[in-house]
Amino acid sequence: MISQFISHKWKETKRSTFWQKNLAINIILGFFIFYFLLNFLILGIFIDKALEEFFPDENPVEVFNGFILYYAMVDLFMRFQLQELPVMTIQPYLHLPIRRSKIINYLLGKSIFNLLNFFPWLIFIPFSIKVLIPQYGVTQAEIWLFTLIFLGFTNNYLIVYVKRQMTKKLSYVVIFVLGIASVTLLDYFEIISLSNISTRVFNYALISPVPLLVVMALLGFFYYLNYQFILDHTYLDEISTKKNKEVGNIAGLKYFDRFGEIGQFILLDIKLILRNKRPRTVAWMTLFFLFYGLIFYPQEIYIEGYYMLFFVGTFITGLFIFNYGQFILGWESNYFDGILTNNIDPNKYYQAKFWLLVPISFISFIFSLPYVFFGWKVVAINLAMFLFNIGVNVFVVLYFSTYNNKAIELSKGGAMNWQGVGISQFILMIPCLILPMIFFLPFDLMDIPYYGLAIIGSIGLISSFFYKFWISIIAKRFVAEKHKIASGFRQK
Amino acid sequence: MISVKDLSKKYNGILAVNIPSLEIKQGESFGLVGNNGAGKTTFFRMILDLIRPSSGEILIKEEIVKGNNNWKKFTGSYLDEGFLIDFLTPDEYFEFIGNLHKLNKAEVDGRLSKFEDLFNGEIRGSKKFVRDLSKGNQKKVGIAAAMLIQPEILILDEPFANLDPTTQIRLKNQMKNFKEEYNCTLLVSSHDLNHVTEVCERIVVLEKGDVIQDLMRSETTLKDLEEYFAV
Repeated sequence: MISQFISHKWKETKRSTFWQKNLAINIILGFFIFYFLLNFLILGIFIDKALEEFFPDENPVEVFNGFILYYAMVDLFMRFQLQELPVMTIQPYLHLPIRRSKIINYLLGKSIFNLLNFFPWLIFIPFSIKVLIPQYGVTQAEIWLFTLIFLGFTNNYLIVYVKRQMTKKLSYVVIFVLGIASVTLLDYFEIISLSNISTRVFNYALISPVPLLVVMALLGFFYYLNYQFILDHTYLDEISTKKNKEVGNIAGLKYFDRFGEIGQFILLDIKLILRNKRPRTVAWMTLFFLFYGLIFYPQEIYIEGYYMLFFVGTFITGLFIFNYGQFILGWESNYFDGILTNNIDPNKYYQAKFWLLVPISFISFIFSLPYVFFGWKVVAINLAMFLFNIGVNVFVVLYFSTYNNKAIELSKGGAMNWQGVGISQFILMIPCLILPMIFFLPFDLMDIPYYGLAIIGSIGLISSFFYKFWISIIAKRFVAEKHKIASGFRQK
Repeated sequence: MISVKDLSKKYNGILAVNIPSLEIKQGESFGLVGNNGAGKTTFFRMILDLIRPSSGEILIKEEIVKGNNNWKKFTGSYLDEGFLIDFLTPDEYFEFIGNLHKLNKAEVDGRLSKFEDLFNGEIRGSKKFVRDLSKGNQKKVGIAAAMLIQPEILILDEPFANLDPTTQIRLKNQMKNFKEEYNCTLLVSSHDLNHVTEVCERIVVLEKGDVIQDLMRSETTLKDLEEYFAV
């Protein structure tokens, strides 16, 4: 039976339109994953050297063990953000003569096959082979290794359980979050020392099987919790993870009435963002990327130059334009036929999109002003990039949005979600990032960089005044392509 | 009102719709019947410029629909859930559609008051999103929104499917009254021969994309149709 489930799952994946139509994306995605795996593996192989380097006076094994509980905490946090509930469309199987326990065990077993569960192995395994086996022998090294591996699985089922509870009882989640937060705070104020506990526990794992047994018991416990929970809830009206949320009113929305039709469209987009998971994730990403600069500005190699800071500035002030704008039609794929048949002028429709993207870009720029701490140069670059974003890039993105006829499910999470991503998204980034550099290059060579920034900014600013003209071009293309787009959206 | 000229649509070389010529007059109530795959929805989608015809054209008020925006001002339509903005509440959706036709909130409310029977108290003032409504209630929202703009042409695909018997009867009356009051041109497709012969004066039978019969309603229409489909 389980093999039947697996074959159904395989068929579901392989026959999904996303997989079939997006070979190129899958190859790129595969490449990224391979690249990450490689990085982790290299880290794993050389981690003992790194530890010796950073903690020359201490035993690398003890240092490593001291980090394990922190890893477990970060792992929990990451999973809380990223991990999806293992869902199987259970409905078509429930009325068939299949034991429920089988369905549930399959459902739970499947959640193990998540990359998050295997990444850390790339560090643990090389470390145990290279460092632990020579010191402690094969048996003890393996006990230690399995303790860590099962610790990861325990996290896996703990998070699955918490996330499942999230749809029923919020109090569990609050307890979970408070628990993590209080442990972090206690550690931060040195009331308890996670690293001490971690060192002790995992040093002990190197001489005794007790920690392994404890972790296995925990694993069994959480698995059982999940099992019981699902068993109690395998009725159709209880399975759905969707809550029938009551609608809250959004304050201040009457304001948009003043802007007539365009205001209505902007309002619709704001509701779309606030009420659907995936666009909400995009909004959070935009906020998150405001801190992108902190990675680059403090480092001298970057702050001295210009070109890298162009990237940073483009993304800080324009991430929303890129991330939201590239799917500007895809977001509305659910009701695209309604958009086409209603009394909607394509010009006004796209103008509304422009007036949604530009203010958010402007707000991002305002929020980036504290970066003046790293010098006025940063602000000058961000201003130039902001103007270029609203004068050039926004139109490039909107123009290319008409090439994208892949539907997007609004309710799916956004992190690592490649649905709706086509090759055009990658192509469109190229001119957006390269053009400012080309404009800048001659001024850089003449050693008058600020003139270059002024030129980039002016081009953006002047071009933005002609937004109606640019949008009329985009709208024409939209009208020419709409049948193709609509038929793409209908194939979900 | 609507003229079809040499219209055809091919999918992978197979004709889905093939209508050499068809005229629908102003004020006519036009019923389209046919089995699954007969091309009813495809035909409606082409009228609404949602699908590009392989050949031929459709004119509304002597204007080609393709790439044109004028007909949208007086055409109301509901084909499927793809017309509904599912993360709005029904009231927000009505307001949005009303706004597109320059109706203020009071006008929208006024016009919707006629739908109270049909809504059965489950739509207006509801705090649910459209996506959380039942299929039947979603359909009511879509049909009401299409009628809200008091269109000169009203196009509905399978309006009776998914509705309970009471609602079917109420909807039927609603459509008849609406048609009488505003003398609009009504295009309806349906599997239900009873309903469609009751609402529509002209019945067109599609089979594999071709118009097989084109009859005006008479005493024997329903019987004839039943015989035709009984094969």
